Amino acid sequence: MSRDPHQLLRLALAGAGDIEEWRLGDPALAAAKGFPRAYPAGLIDDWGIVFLDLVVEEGTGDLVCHEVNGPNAVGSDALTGESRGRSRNEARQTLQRLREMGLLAPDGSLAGEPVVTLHAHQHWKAFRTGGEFFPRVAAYQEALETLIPGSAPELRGAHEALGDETLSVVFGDVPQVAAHLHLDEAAGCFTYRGRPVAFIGNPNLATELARAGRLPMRTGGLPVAARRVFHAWRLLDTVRDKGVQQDLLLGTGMRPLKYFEADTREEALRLTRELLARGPVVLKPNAASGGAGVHAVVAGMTDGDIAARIDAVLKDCVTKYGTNADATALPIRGFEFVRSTGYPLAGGGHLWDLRIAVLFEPGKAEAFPISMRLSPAPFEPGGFHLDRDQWISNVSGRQVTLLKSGMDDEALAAVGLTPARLEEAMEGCVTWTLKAWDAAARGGGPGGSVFEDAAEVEDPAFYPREAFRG
Amino acid sequence: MSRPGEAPMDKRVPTRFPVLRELADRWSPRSFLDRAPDPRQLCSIFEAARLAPSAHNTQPSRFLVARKGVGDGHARLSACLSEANQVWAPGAPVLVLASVMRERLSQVTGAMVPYPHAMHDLGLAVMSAIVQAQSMGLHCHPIAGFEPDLARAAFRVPDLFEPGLILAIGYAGPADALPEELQLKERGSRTRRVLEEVLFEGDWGLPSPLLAAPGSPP
Ligand SMILES: Cc1cc2nc3c(=O)[nH]c(=O)nc-3n(C[C@H](O)[C@H](O)[C@H](O)COP(=O)(O)O)c2cc1C
Ligand SMILES: Nc1ncnc2c1ncn2[C@@H]1O[C@H](COP(=O)(O)OP(=O)(O)O)[C@@H](O)[C@H]1O
Ligand SMILES: [Mg+2]
Repeated sequence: MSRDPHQLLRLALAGAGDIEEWRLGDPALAAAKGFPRAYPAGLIDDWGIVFLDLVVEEGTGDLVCHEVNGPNAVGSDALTGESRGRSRNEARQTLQRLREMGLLAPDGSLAGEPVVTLHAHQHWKAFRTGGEFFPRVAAYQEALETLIPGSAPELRGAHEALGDETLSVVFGDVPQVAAHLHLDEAAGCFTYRGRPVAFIGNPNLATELARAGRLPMRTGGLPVAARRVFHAWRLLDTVRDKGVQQDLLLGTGMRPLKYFEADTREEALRLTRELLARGPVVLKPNAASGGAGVHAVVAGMTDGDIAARIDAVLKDCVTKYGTNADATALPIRGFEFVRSTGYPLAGGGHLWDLRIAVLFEPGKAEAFPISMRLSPAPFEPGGFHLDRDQWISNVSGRQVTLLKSGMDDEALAAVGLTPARLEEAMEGCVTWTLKAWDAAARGGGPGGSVFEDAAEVEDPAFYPREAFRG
Repeated sequence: MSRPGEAPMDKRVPTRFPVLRELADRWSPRSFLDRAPDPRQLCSIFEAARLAPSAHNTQPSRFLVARKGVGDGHARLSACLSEANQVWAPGAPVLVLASVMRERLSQVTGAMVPYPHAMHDLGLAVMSAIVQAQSMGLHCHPIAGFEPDLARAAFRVPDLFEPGLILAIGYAGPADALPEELQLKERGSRTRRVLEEVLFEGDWGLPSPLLAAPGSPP
């Protein structure tokens, strides 16, 4: 496949309900606004992208983050209509891994055995990621070709066999790609159809293997080359743990949400009751996405009602991911429900969230707003927990999506996001990324094993900062 | 190491109390044999450095290795040495630029903050490397005499990191392979303060009674 058919495919998909962020793209507007915004990030020493979903809270005006997504997420094309920056970032990481794996000759050309890169999408129903995903893969292939002269990377669908090329750029949906993906302990890397893997663009492939019992859920123990081939690899465990994500929001200007973690249904029930004292609670399974298994619980519910919701969290995961989902759906977490400032539409105020991307590489981070996702039905505080359309903004699986550009000043103003507030939010997202990167590298941060980190939270002056300064 | 016929140099500082063999035998030669250390041994040296403790487990140390005969890194790093060190250090088969992260991220504020123990922690890592090297028959020589800014430019060391030290690694060579003015120093004895000067107890400057305890060697 060449690039042009991809552009055509995308146009075709536009009518078929694909995720339409690319249509919001406006390169001139992005340039005028200085997006993506670059930030120094000396601490960052590898490549990746994360997506933070934020709201402004009704009443308090606090910035709050529901969730941080890893490179499984799409929408990075919302700024300019394409994802080339992300493709190039992926390609540069690939180049570095090829070097580390001893697969590059000193002259920078490919040397040694044939090697594979993997891109996987997860909204295989109706190609909902067509708009971003396929053109990104094509641009990635192109970027590899530029970075590695003579590499002649070959695009391969996950359903097809590999040929005699030395570099295969494989793409397909998560289950299809995962079916041929194995951790080769002896070789110390992943193999795909028997060939070493130098890049994995979607962390959900790891989750898919974990569900099948073919990979541990925590990736810290993987061989070096297996761990480092994931895009944003150091954050692989962080983007699957919505609890740690909240803890890391301390010091970012966004208010961390109260939450609990429960390993059993009974514990989940007890802790939900406790948290309900503060207001409604959102229950979420571990390591799921696309809104799967997310349920709301409110104070008036009986223990039986709540238990049924807890069961539904787990059942939804099995429905979406198959019987093995039990293995990864725990712990269940409960978060305080955040009501965003409503986006005014004819029928009333709609809850919304704004997705901000942070694309990073050694020494540098770039942040940019993607889109505001409005929940499809107006919010009714009395009965929202019975109607997912009132409070769940995820667009996957929805026929009607209410998307606004993250560059739409009027739409942002309507929910209280002044330009200054947006800057604050973007900066906070970069800070979150740095904190997550730092915590993962040290085994530190909240819940980590570095004692001084905990001591510093208790008493910021615990550390004699000026000591030893020359 | 020595030339055939030359007795191996004994550079040990007398000690009253037993210490690890690697620490007793360690010294900083300027003459190195023209013999490349085994690549696996070099890896062990940096593996040892990686294990060193650091404040907040910041792990601030980074090592850039320059091997003679492998690319031009050795020549480029040699060019960063001060004139006096240029006389001997390029003779080492391996030179290492040891750099350190100058600041660390506060998990509380999300901001970069001073990291007062940075050089200290680099020192711990470098010493781990030195001890590991010593255990494998290699010697190291730490070098402060170099131009950090030249090294920064030559190897594109990012701002956040400070080149702190060059470490020469290799097999100790014969003293007479050195220019004459250095030979005397190479053969000379090594001097250390006595323990009474460095180990206090109770108050600053008061030698610890540990040293005078019954059974302590004179
Ligand atoms: C200079 C320095 C200062 C340290 N300060 C403390 C401290 O105040 N409290 C503490 O519990 N640990 C402290 N540590 C220990 C580090 O947390 C520890 O070395 C690091 O987490 C790595 O763990 P390890 O030593 O078990 O390998 C310090 C370490 C160093 C090198
Ligand atoms: N704490 C919360 N308060 C209110 N709404 C929430 C909260 N957490 C999530 N939501 C809503 O539910 C949706 C799905 O939750 P999220 O954690 O993003 O799950 P997923 O990983 O499946 O995308 C979000 O897009 C948001 O609209
Ligand atoms: Mg989400």
